[in-house]
Amino acid sequence: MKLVITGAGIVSAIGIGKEATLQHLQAQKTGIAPVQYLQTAHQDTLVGEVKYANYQLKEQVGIAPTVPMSRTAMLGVLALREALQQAGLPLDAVKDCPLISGTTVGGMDKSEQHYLSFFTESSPAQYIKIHDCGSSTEQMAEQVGGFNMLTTLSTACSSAANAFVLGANMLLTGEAQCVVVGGSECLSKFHLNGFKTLMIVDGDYCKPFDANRAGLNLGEGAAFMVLETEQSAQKRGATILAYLSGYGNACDAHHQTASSPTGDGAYLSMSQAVEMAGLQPADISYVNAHGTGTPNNDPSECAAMSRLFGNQLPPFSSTKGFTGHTTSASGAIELVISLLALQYQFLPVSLHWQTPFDPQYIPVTQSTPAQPLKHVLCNSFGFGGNDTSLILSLV
Amino acid sequence: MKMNVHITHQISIQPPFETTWIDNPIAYTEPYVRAIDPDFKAYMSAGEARRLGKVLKRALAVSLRCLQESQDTPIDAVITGTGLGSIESTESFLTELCQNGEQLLKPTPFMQSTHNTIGSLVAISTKNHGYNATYAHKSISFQSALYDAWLQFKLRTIQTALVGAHDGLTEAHYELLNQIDYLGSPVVGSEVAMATILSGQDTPQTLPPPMCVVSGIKLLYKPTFEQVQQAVQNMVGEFKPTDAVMMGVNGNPQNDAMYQPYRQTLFANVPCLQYKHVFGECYSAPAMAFYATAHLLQKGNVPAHFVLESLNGALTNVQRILLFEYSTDGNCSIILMGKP
Repeated sequence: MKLVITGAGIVSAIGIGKEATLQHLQAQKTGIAPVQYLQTAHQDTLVGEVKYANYQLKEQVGIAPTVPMSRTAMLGVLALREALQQAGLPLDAVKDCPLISGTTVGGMDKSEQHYLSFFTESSPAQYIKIHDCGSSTEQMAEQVGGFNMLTTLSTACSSAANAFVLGANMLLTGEAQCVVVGGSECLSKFHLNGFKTLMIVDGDYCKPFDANRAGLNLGEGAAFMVLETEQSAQKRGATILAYLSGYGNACDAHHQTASSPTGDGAYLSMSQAVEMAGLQPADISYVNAHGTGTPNNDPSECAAMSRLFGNQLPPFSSTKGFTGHTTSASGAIELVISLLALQYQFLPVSLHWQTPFDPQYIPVTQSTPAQPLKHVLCNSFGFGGNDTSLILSLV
Repeated sequence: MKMNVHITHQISIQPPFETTWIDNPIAYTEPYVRAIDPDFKAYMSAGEARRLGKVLKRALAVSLRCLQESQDTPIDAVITGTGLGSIESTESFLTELCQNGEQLLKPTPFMQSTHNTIGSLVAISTKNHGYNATYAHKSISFQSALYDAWLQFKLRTIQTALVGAHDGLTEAHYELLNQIDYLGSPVVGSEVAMATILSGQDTPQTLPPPMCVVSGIKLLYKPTFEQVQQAVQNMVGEFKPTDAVMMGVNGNPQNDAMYQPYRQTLFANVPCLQYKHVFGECYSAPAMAFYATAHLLQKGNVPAHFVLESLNGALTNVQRILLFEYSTDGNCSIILMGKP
């Protein structure tokens, strides 16, 4: 059974929608800038913010300024709508679709704003209700309408990628014909400070795979895709954008916040995905790497790629120089970027890369591919070694 | 397809790893009760016990206990459900952040705050490189984890899985959940750590014989009465005299009203069971319905204190128990368990 993508929606620091995203990627224009919207003491920090304040997002979502909604849910609604629209799924059909989202922050952006007042007599309890991860998925579903099942993955930075895995397994078992999968995550003081305590936030632009890389820039955003069986898409007469041809999930089982030097989990998740797709490693035309730009991630991911691909690494890059690390949403955001790369036959470059940390590992800096792109592998690795790889293939 | 339940253990407001709750449950009237912890030294080093928050310690202990009894059978997947993750760590980091500003924060509470720390800890401790995922969706978190395993058994991509559900309750978080009427008297707010070892169509011979089987699972969002009826019918067929339905009633009128229409119609002729009077309420509570049902089916009879409405009090010769959850937020799950 073939699984197909018929719709995709994306929101990130490089714009709302696929068109703005594509423009930025092709013009090699980053969305990372000093903090503008997040209320934080770290005002000089470079982040990939969606360039709208909450009140502006509320207008776009179409809710009153007083309606309590996390930024996570608002970003998600915008991405969801774009995906459903492209897939041509009317509300009647969405009623029969599960919505599977990935997030970790959920409504933390609101909780951190109101936390101390929760314990006073004038507690804004409406924000307690939307604190947890699942609530953000419910809020998205309520705004969009429809959906016959909801659930939420929370495997840190691979959350959204794992939403694809569950959704795909539902299709393969015949539990559903069409699923809507992805993830959403807004910036919060909570995780910005958390990553800062771990000393893995670069004070400058992140430089994945560079010898002088010093950490990540955090980002935010959301992306969703409509994933269905080929039969379902054909029956509806929907345009097939790409196949989800393989996926793998494995645990590095090494450390809560660091990857193993040998990239065990990454190697396993990538190999499983390639095997499931019925491909040889050499068939992979491009790897959208997890590539956070932390001293630890990049060599570990490269070691894993070497184990899988041998001396002939396919072109690889990290697009986190454009969007920042969108954490739980990154699996979906980067899969939409991978989809655009396939559709428009270009290689997204690793922005800000200058100096190799190892001559074996030179990321993409020229966007014109030497070979046509056919199969793109997209990596998402989370804290705790929750590693997931997805492969999109051209129709 | 059937999914076999080989082992299941709990750390909760009942004595840890015991099944004394079947006949002699500890009764609580307080709205907020913390779990009874085992001696963690049997499961982890003193250093680890100091470093880890309570949710993590319990999750590790209950998972390792299950694994010990699995006779080293390789586990292909570690799948976790948690509504709030390591709430103690989240709360500690959040409180520091809000009270003292964005400086001098410590990394450990942040590291332990992500929901998947629980499942990762189990994988790291047991060097398990298999499939690993965590679901965090309120009171459907555990059922989502179980459903994930179910699908993979169906696809034969795994042979065995360790599925767990873990939630803790701090005093501060009790206060918040009370404000939104999720907890508060007469509901007993509680803590749960539960783990189970499952197999699918290719059961390794090293596992102990199954306590019971799962023969159907369906997750729904805001289903209509007809959709629930259809799902139950597809799974159960006709109810038999040896069937029962276990549901998430907890004494909160709003919560219990979700079940009322079904008790009066769909389940009018089948004994309805409760479990939250024993294990209390938290986002992982539905895992305790699963846990309790596994033990009750193994035993074959259900003591009267579980039975909501029955002509005869205790039930004997129970063959199948349908787990039915429908929470006020619209998440609904239907799971059929039965004797092997």
